[in-house]
Amino acid sequence: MREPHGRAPSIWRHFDFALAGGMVLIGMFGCLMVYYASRQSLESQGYSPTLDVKKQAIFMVIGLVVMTVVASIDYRRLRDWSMILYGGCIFVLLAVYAVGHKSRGAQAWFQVGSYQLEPSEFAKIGLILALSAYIAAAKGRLSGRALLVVLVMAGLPFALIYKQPDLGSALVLCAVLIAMLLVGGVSGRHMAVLGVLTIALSFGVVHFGVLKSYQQARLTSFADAPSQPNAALLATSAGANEYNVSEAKVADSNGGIFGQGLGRGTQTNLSYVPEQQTDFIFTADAEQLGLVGSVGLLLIYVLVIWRTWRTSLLSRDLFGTLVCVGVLAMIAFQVFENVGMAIGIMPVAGIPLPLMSYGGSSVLATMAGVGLVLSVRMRRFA
Amino acid sequence: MTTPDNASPQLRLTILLVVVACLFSALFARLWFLQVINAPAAQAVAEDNGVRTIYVQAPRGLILDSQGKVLVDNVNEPVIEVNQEIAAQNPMMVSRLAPLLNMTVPQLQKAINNVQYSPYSPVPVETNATSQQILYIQENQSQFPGVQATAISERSYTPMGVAAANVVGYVGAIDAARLAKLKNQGYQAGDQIGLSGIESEYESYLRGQPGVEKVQVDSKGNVLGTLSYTQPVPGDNIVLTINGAVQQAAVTALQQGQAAAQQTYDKVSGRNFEAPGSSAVVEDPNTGQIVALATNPDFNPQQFVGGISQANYQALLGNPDHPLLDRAIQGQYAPGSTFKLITAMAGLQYGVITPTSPFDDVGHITIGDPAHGGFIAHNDNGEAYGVIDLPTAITVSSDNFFNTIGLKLWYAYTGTEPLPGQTVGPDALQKMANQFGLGQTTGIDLPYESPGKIPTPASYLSDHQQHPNIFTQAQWYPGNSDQLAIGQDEDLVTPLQLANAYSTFLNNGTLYTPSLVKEAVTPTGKVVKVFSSPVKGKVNIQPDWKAALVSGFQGVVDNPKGTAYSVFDNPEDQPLQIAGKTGTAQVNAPRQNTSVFTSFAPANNPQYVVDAFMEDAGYGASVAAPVVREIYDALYNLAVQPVNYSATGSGGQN
Repeated sequence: MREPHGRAPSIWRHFDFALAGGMVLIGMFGCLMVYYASRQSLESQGYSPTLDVKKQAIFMVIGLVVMTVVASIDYRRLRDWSMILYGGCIFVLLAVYAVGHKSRGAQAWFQVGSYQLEPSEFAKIGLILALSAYIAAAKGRLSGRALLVVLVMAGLPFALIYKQPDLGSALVLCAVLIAMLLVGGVSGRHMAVLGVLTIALSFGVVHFGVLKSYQQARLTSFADAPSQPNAALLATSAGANEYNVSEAKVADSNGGIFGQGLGRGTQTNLSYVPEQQTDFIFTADAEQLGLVGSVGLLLIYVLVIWRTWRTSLLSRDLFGTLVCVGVLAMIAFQVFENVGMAIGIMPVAGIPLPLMSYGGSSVLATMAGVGLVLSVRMRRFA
Repeated sequence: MTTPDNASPQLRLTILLVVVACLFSALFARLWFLQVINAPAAQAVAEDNGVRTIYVQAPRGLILDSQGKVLVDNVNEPVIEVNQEIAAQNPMMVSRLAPLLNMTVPQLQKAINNVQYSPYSPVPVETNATSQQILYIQENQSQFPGVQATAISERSYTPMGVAAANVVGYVGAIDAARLAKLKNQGYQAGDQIGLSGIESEYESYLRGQPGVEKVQVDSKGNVLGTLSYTQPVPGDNIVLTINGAVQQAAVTALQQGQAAAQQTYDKVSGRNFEAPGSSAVVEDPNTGQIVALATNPDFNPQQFVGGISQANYQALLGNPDHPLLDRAIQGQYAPGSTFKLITAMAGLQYGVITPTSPFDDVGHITIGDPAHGGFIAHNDNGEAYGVIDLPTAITVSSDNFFNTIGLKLWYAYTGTEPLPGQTVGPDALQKMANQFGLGQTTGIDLPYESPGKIPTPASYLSDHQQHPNIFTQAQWYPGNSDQLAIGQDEDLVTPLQLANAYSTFLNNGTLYTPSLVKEAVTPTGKVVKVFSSPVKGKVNIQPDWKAALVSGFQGVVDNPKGTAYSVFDNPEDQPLQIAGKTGTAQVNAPRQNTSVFTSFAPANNPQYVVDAFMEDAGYGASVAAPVVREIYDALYNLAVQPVNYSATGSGGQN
């Protein structure tokens, strides 16, 4: 690592301000939305209405520090550490499986003081680094044997996270894996076999009861319009899920082009949309700021994804490319799945909207991922 | 260690970019659909989600008598109300409140969780709170979150209002069936609604407009604030045509009349008169407005306030004297000799008699061939009045005179004794009764009015065909015409119908639908609507016919030969120029005669028609006439003389 003020031209000249700026912008936007989405329910429980937004802002600041620190580390050095990091992630996932904190029906957290740490978020970064290192070593031509190793590497954290159960995060790992295999040089034949296997597997999972009934209900609820009035839906657990989606869609539509204005959306500010500060944060944006606000937010994500993709192209090595592809897949899939769920074109799965959803682990993991991309870009000539 | 490898696979990266671009395009397209195309519909759903409407009942209009005196008032009843939502969060409060209200905790909990009430309006759990209870709650309000000691408006009846219970009716809590039907008019569980009488018929005026409060609620139903509040508009007062003082006097007179009859021995049945019920009507013949509509025994409408208990209601229903029956409009009685007005009108109409034509009353008439089912009809006590004309026939109540008219009309129809220049139908007499409004409901603004009955040859046949065991006779005989002519046979009228028929005669032939309500007035006195009696029909009455009949009716009271002379011989009554007609309706044993009297005053320019029907009470002159006299005392503010059973008065159908 070179000092930014050394005699040699500093790598910080190549710092991607657009990417980092986009992240800061999304983070600030996220804080605003967390505030409006959470204040009413916090107040009704007797808490300060700014409780959640303060925590989120602190995480954003820590996240920026993490991003900068990661960016300052030469990503190539991480290649050597990748297997250690990966092993650490698996260990922590096993630990959370054994002694984790159970909340909202899943054992996915460590309780640290008043904060909850979610190891699955960090496992995404660990997997990206490990897969990048392994696939890059194969130099763009993955043999069948190497492919098998990759699948096992991805399958291990997938299984542990799926067991928590956290289907959403497990799906993110799948998206990361597929993107990296695509770019990392898996042969067309293997890709086809994998595709067929995936389809057969999902079919089997849905139809032979591997999925818990609520998971199945979630995954299929997007396909149908709500069959009953909203209040009645809440009475059944499967119904509760339909309620989520239908209230979310109402909130989205309620925004119109310019939205209801901050603090004015009835669906948002009266806690009609459940879990709004976390998984349904997008609806707060859509209702209060309308089409302008929601499209604006998506455009910032597009900017982030575009800059990441550019970096993957510019990377001086395959490892860097693959790291960028992994981070890109992680962010893009989460945005697509989360927003798609809120607007009713994707099944409901508990996936945070990067930097928008309330939750420290997600913020830190996302910032670390972007830090990696920044690092790759800064060092494209060095 | 950092050997650059330039194996960056551009094509594969481009594929990845295209995939991501496709996914994001889908998001943008969907957002466009939701936020631009679908937005108006969703905004409606969202608005509906967050707003709850609460209706606040308006103060109910009062019911006043024609003099502006209050019959039905509102009073504030102290109540203790509990907010359902807060009670659910404060079980401690419920356990503190229960002993204060002398309830167990489960009892109170059940009262609070009354599903009939909207969760946003407080539920009254104690509707008759003592001042100690209210004071305790107010002084310790912090211990009773969500509990409110307040007052709700309830109906209250003045003594005049109680006397007019059958007219004013009562209100009660709306039941589930009505609620379902009227929900869109803003009725809510626990609301008071008119259930009978004027309270029910004029509900739309009395009720006013409920206030509307729109509150913002969150997804859990917590009230966050009031969005808008529209004040309730108090209901309009209803001003009746009823004079409360006269109504009260009429009820008192009926009670005294019944009591007097019950202490009198009836020679016919060999026991005291039972006199279980009675009724009186006072009508203004010039307008069709009802001044008094009295029935006895009556019920106290106060017991319906706030909901009548099942036991009390069963007691009212099971009472053998039927206090819930409004005898003035639902009691059906043979009119007896009071029907002779109709017979006289028919006789004049068809030329059977003239106002002055002489008739030799021999005291009896033979109908048909006595050897073959015919019979001889006698005057009461077999008296023969000699040569008389129409006025005298009315005054002395000659059955012979009117029997003859009935028979002649029938024989004119059958062709036995044709009337020159007249075509007479089989029901000529009945048609005349119908023209005076008999045999059909008057259409007064009260529910469940009885139509009465004027039998015809056709009704005999159809009754027999439908119920051959009850109506054994299918054919109409001359004897039926003879009996109908003096108000017997199956002839049935209500007290209101009879008063209305005499009013029609006295106002020169206008048949009104009698009215009870003069006007609807706002609480500040602005007249909203004036009501009048609709005209239902016209009867042809020649001036000389009317003069002859009126002089006959005057004779009933003035002439020493008149059937009610002794009742009205008090010098105080003379200036009133009361005229009238007695009636004594024979009823099948073991029932006793119905005592009937109908009257009007002043005779030359009538302002009032007053009639009274006393069940199982004897001659018309014996008790109905004294009751009517006492009502006149009230009408003209004379010193009221208690009703005595009058021993005088001739018998029969008089």
